Amino acid sequence: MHGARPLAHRMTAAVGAVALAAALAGCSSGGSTPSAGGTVTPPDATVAPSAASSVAPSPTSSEPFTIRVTMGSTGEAVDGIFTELKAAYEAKYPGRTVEIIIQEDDVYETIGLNNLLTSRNAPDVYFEWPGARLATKVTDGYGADLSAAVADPRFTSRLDPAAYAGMVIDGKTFMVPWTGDVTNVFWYNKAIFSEHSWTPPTTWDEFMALCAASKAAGITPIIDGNKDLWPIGSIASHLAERTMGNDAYRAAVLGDQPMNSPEMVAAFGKLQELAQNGYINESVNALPDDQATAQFLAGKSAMIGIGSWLVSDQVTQAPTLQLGFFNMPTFPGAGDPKSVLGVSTGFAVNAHSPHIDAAIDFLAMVVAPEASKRFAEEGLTPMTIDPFAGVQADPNTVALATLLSTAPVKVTPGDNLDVQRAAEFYGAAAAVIGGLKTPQQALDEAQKRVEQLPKN
Amino acid sequence: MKPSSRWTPYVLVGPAVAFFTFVVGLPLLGTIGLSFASWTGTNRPKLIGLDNFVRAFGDEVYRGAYLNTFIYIAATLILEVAVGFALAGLVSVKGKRTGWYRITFFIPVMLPMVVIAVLWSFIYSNDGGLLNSFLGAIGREDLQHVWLGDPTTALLSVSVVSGWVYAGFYMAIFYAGLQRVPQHLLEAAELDGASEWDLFFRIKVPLLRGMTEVAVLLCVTGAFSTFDLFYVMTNGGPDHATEIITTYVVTTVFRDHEVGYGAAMSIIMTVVVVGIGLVYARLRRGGGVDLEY
Repeated sequence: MHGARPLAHRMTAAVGAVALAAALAGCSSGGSTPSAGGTVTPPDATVAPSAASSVAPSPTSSEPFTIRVTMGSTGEAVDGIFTELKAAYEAKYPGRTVEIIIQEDDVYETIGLNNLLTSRNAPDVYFEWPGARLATKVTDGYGADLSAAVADPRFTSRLDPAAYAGMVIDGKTFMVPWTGDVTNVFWYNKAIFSEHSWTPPTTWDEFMALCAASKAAGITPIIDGNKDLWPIGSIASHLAERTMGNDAYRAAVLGDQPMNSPEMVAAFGKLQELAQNGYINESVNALPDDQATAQFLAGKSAMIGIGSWLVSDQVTQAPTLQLGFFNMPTFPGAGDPKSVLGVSTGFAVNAHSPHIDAAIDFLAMVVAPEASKRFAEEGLTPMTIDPFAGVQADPNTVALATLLSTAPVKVTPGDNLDVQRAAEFYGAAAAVIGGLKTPQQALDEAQKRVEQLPKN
Repeated sequence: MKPSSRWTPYVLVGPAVAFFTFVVGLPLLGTIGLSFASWTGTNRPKLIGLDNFVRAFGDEVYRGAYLNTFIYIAATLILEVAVGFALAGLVSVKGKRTGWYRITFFIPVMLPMVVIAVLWSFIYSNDGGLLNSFLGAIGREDLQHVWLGDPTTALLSVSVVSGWVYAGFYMAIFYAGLQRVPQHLLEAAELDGASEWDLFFRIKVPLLRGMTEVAVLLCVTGAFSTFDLFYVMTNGGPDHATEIITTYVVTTVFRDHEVGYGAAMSIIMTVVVVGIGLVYARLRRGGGVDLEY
């Protein structure tokens, strides 16, 4: 698990036929409870957690019990922090034990969590992405209302209300934020820029001029690996927001507005501009994102469009390489010119848990200053207030965290809004960046496919 | 030999039937049941009748996946079965190193498919890949291509890899058959003045008819269950150009969490594969001369 990397990235799991057969055969053994109803709203950065709702009471029994906490692996170092948290929790609450269940991240995301939740021994606390995935869990009856709990000072002193974006559904809070990532910026190789006296662009026109100069110098301007569709899909999400505004962009991806509007076609025109001018690698749709990253870090392109996790790749693959980044360049449009594309992650509590209060106590320790510092030390960006205080963090990581926390508009990548519709949206973006279709053709086709999907 | 008790046959067959029921029968029944339901994997399945099937028949990507699968079958019949047959003929020729050739051609069959897919992804890579580098080295830059990123070449490129892997498998099958061709027939034909060409096409090939039919059936049905090669090399892209039924079902179930719809598509595919098998079995009736075992 890599914090808040785009969902579609994580969908590239090496799932096999055995898992397929198991899933199709219905391996769940426990009964799921249908939702009590109510509409599920998509992530909304403007909704703050409500304190009105109450948390289901835990049993008053003084018998020792165990709470189960599950997540995908974020690497040994971060997994180890949860082991430390377990020890601290058990010391603080005698009689309670914590079982940490860490699965391989792709397995967790595809079938692992679902199988755990529907098992007879379901987890009490589970890692989840806000937005579409969380909404499904809530609809299916697996999300405990944490509204009252997060009004407690243990949470209010550590988390800004804006951190709950996408975690509030029908006015109720269903998750506690953990980490966040900027999903897309343009990273550049400082040595190449310095050698050619190039400066980071602020406007789209400057960006195109920079790409032209890079191409003329025989350097691939931008490299990306869009085999799994999310890298260019993320850029398309940001372009759409900048062109038509956040509400219109979200409405298009959520199916409330047509995807092939003139504004969206104009946004995709920017992708076409990159493709037609040869400003992006010709192999963009055939290349996996990790290979594109490796090539960028090897100095084979001037820029790459990818998220904040590039820092950790750079540290391990090219520790001496100097990197800079710039946000999506501005251009005239209805969106906010300082918007940032980003996502967050967090932990939900199983509504069926008999130990909801104990689970909340554990989450309070996850957001506590000690744990937050430990997560930041390991390269994560905690969603807590002032996460890097007293931490020797990478300057780019800190700058990106600041960019995200101060953004006037946080744009949610399409696949965090609606996985299926975003898949069509991302597919259209891939067709345009690959030069296979015009923006109008690609979006018309996407809209046609979206109309065939079942209504939510 | 007569069984000592009338229950003996049932006792002997029972474990196998129970095992088959557990690993095939029950999952199949579960899949059939789910195909009539809407289920995300965590909610309570909701019966929706034939909606999933109606949707599948109207789904352009799903229909396109069948077209891609049939193109893949056509390509692999040539690249796997026909090439395997030709290789078997070549390695059957008495010579000093034919044993090494047999081993060499069979090695890809023993490699994990995921490893092969990754290996060939590098060969096809546009950025320093072996194939494009070779074309550049011989002065044919005009033929350099983004092999896996272009809808016109992606499917054929994956099919070539499949052929590279399985031609050795079919070679082994046909080679075994060629070793069973009665020597007296060949010697009699030689005495009658038959050339090597005549021996191969007029005696060996007709005698391998049954084996060829089995190979074709394996190739066709195997194509429907192919997954890993496509998943690793192209993941169905670009623009669904290499989307086959299995990749689309996996995407539907694991990315979209539409388990019911995925089940319906799986059932349709099962019916298609069984139908092809039955038609093929009917066409095979009539037979002819075949090898004795």
